[in-house]
Amino acid sequence: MRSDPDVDLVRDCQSGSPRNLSGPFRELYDRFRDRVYNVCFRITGNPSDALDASQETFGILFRKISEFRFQSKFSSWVYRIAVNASIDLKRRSSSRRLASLDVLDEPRAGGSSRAEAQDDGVEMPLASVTRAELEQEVQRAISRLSPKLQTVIVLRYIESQSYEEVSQTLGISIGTVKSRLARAHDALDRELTPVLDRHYLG
Amino acid sequence: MNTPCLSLRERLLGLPDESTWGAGDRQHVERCRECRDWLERAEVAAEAVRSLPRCEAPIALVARVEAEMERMGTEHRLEGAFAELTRQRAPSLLQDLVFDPAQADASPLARTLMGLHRHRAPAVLERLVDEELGEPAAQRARRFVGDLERIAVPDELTGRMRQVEAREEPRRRILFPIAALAAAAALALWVGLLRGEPKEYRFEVVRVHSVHELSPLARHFAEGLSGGVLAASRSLEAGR
Ligand SMILES: [Zn+2]
Repeated sequence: MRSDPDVDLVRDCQSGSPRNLSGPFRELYDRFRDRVYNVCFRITGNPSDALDASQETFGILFRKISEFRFQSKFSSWVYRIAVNASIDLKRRSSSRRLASLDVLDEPRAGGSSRAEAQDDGVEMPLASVTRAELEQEVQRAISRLSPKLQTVIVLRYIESQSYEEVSQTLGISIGTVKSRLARAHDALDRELTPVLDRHYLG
Repeated sequence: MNTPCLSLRERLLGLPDESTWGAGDRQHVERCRECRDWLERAEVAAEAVRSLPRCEAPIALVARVEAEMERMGTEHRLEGAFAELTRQRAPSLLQDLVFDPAQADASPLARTLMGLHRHRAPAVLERLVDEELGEPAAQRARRFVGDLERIAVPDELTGRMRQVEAREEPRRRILFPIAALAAAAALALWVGLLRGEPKEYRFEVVRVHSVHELSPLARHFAEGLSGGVLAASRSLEAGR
């Protein structure tokens, strides 16, 4: 693929063997580490799982790089490995994390304690959401989406991929990308509208 | 939600900003309040996601990836070492012991195994397979009937039949009680098999004056079990 900026570096890696993180492998790592980590972090939703998923991604990447045939953009391939590693890891540790969230979180069933307090007219210190809290709420809303919807949201808005790039990364049609993104927005809307209203309207 | 609205929303989400919308899209959004609200909320949500801070990969990652590559290097070296091992031929003694029964010192087990007679598939197998493929249902039915247990006629029934025989004309005295008996026995056996009850049969004697009065099922059983006598008799009747 002519327009792929990673071709030369990938060919250098393919001509050597992955013995240690030096030379072209180090360069490839430096080029992709933040992108891989961000995707892993936004899909798994926590730094510890993101680290595990990133390690797994680079492990697979370096082990299989000799099999890459340039039929898609190299970055799409890297993103795909990162997405799959994150989803796998999230599945493996979801029960453990859900259990700990149940302890830390406000109760979800029957409305949140914050909303109930507002209804009662009690003055709440968190009535308007701060920037950090908003980020947490947005991340939490992303984490509650199904893996398929989560992935399109992360690739589209965190990694700024076009429909075509998302389609290539996930190996699905552009029509499927469109409909998944619209469905993801419907779901985010339900989760985020109250939070965003509090944040922007005070 | 109607399809034009849905497809418009899906398409506009993929465009960078409003300046790239077409005139038709703009017109739809101006007229359709639902789409306008939906797209506004979608843009706010998208912006909230976009503005999440980008994290730098933690320092710990590089150490982990280095350790991973160290492992890969070891695997690679091991693979190389295994690949360089020369393949050894099996010693000729092994070959002689296992494969050559004619050898004077071949093992008794090898001689026995090699000496086992190999059977050819019997010629009839080909025809059976052919029939099975041609008429699987008929073959299954034939096998099933062959497996049915043949039971003895109870004495009481025989006694009753004799009484009937004494009253009926010669042809009926012979032919129809057999038919009725056989049909009833087969029916009872059939019901018993379906229920899976062990060895306890119930009989019902149905007196008929003609084969035609039997139910189709009983008639077919009777014909089958009479060895064709009833069928022949029926065709004779029909020919008259
Ligand atoms: Zn509309």
